[in-house]
Amino acid sequence: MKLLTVTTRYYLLLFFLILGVWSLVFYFVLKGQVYQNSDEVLLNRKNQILSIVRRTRQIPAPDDPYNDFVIHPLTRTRISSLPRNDQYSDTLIYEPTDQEFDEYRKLKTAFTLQGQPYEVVIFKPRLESTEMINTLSITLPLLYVVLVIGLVVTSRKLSKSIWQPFYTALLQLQQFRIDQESPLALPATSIEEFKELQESVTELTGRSQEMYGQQKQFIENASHEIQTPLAIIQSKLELLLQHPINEQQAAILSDIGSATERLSKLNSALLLLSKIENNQFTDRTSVLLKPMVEQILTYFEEQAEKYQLLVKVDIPEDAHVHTNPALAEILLTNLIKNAFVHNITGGRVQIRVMNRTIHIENSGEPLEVPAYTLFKRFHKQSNTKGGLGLGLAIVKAICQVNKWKVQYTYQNKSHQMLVSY
Amino acid sequence: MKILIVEDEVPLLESMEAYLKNEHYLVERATNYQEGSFKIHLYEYDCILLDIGLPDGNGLTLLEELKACRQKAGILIISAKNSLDDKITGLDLGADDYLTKPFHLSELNARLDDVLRRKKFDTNTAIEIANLHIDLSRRTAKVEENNLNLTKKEFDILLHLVANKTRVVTKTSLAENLWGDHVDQVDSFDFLFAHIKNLKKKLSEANASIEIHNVYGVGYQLVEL
Repeated sequence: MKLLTVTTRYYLLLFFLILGVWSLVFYFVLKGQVYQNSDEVLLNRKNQILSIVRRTRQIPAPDDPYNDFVIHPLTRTRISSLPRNDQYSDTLIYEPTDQEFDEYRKLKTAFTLQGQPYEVVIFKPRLESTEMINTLSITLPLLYVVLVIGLVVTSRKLSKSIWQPFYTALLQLQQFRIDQESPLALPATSIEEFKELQESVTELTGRSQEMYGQQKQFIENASHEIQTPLAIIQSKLELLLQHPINEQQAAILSDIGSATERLSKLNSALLLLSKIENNQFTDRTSVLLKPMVEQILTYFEEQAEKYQLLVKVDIPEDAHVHTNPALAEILLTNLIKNAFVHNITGGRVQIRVMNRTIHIENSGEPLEVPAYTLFKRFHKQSNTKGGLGLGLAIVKAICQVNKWKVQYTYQNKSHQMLVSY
Repeated sequence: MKILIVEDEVPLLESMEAYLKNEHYLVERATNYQEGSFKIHLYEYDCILLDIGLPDGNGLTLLEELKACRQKAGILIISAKNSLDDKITGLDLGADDYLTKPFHLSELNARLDDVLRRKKFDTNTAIEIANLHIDLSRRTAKVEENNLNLTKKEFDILLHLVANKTRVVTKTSLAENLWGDHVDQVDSFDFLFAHIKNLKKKLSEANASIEIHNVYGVGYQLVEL
């Protein structure tokens, strides 16, 4: 859910609660005002009536239709027990003209005239509660609707304009690759938070790029520096072999030799990997696939013979890729090598090119490791095959610099590598 | 034959020197650019082994100098950079071959042999050893008049062993010579063993007066009987 939707929802809920409470408060305050007002009117009217009665010493006729009050003598009440206070209360009075009960406020009070106690009840129509409620229940929801629309529209607009720097930064981050050369280019903004975000993001990505660059450079330099001592070890070993040695010594030298060789291959593979990642293979040309695959296959003749492998090649004469020839050869070699090495006796290797995809398929036991680790460095299937664990990492790196896609699947007891170029 | 090695890593230089002296080459050394440049201008060599990464200058510049003073020497570049650019530039500037560190001394020797042969005997591309005759251009080997009918790989093995005759050539060096980085070590040693077995058989059947010895599983050695 979008941030703005969430905040809008909270605002709407808040508005709803505020308006709910507000309508109650408003109703009661209004009602209080109405009462206060009618009671004031009643009190004034009472004082007026009483002053007229005291002045004229006459009680008005009780059934005068022009009067808004009634006065009647209290017969069984003693003067001392007369209520001293005015009594205000609500009442309903039937209005014959519109045939309904209307809400009235009445004031009941007592007074004495010439020793005779009287009771006077004054009636005044009052603003009706139902009227008030009706008004509130129309105006407040209307206000709510206006607020909702206003809020939604504003937040839509806001998300398009004010949030623009945020979305730009987000897009750039999504597309950010640590090995890209250029720093992030974020548009200028006047909003403090976005400015801080941009600064942090730019600094973070910049630092990562720098670190990554240093790391890459370090690997390349380190691998490079390792070459010379390796060359020295290897040459000294060879010199030592020229001297008369016994079988035990030969075995030791042989082990040292294999280890050195392994180290040297590992080192050159790492060097190659960092060179690919450093984009040092820039010369591109059109590379015909068929002759290259056939050339590579000659290196695996013994392997095919030993394990009785059936090798099938189906590549159109004109199938070609546009890339650096050395990289194309390394990619194909690594994939074909895997197809031979991770095979079974009496198995098969099939190499096809169609729809701008190179299919390399071979029979073999299922993977012992999860497929997603295949292209990671030093994740190898088993130690018995003597591989370095860098072959597929190199394949992936080559695909990345060429913007190709490489995919692995295991179906019908065969491994399939697809390179879409 | 006079060889100049320009290499700043003295232990490596000494290894090359020792190996090549045993092949009866006259070996001189230069451990930096200055010295290399000085010797190039002063003396004539049959071949120069040139390390590109020198502390006081680029070996490629030395190569240009060399060309300028019209030395006829063959040039074998040795580099720690397995970089194609350097290789191409080097070969463009007139180097005859290119070798990447780390390398096998036997490989260096074979390449050196090859460079010298190409420089000296452009027309005659044959090697005679004992009663064995190797035709390099047609890639065939004969014992007296009997053609050995070697496969491509058997021929390559024989050539490598002949270039380093009487020396122990390691299995890894031979395997690398045949397959480069293509096959993994375990299997390629088996294949190598099979090829060598066939080669031995063909040599003995043709009564060749050379023999391939297995040196305790470390490597192989070609000896004249």
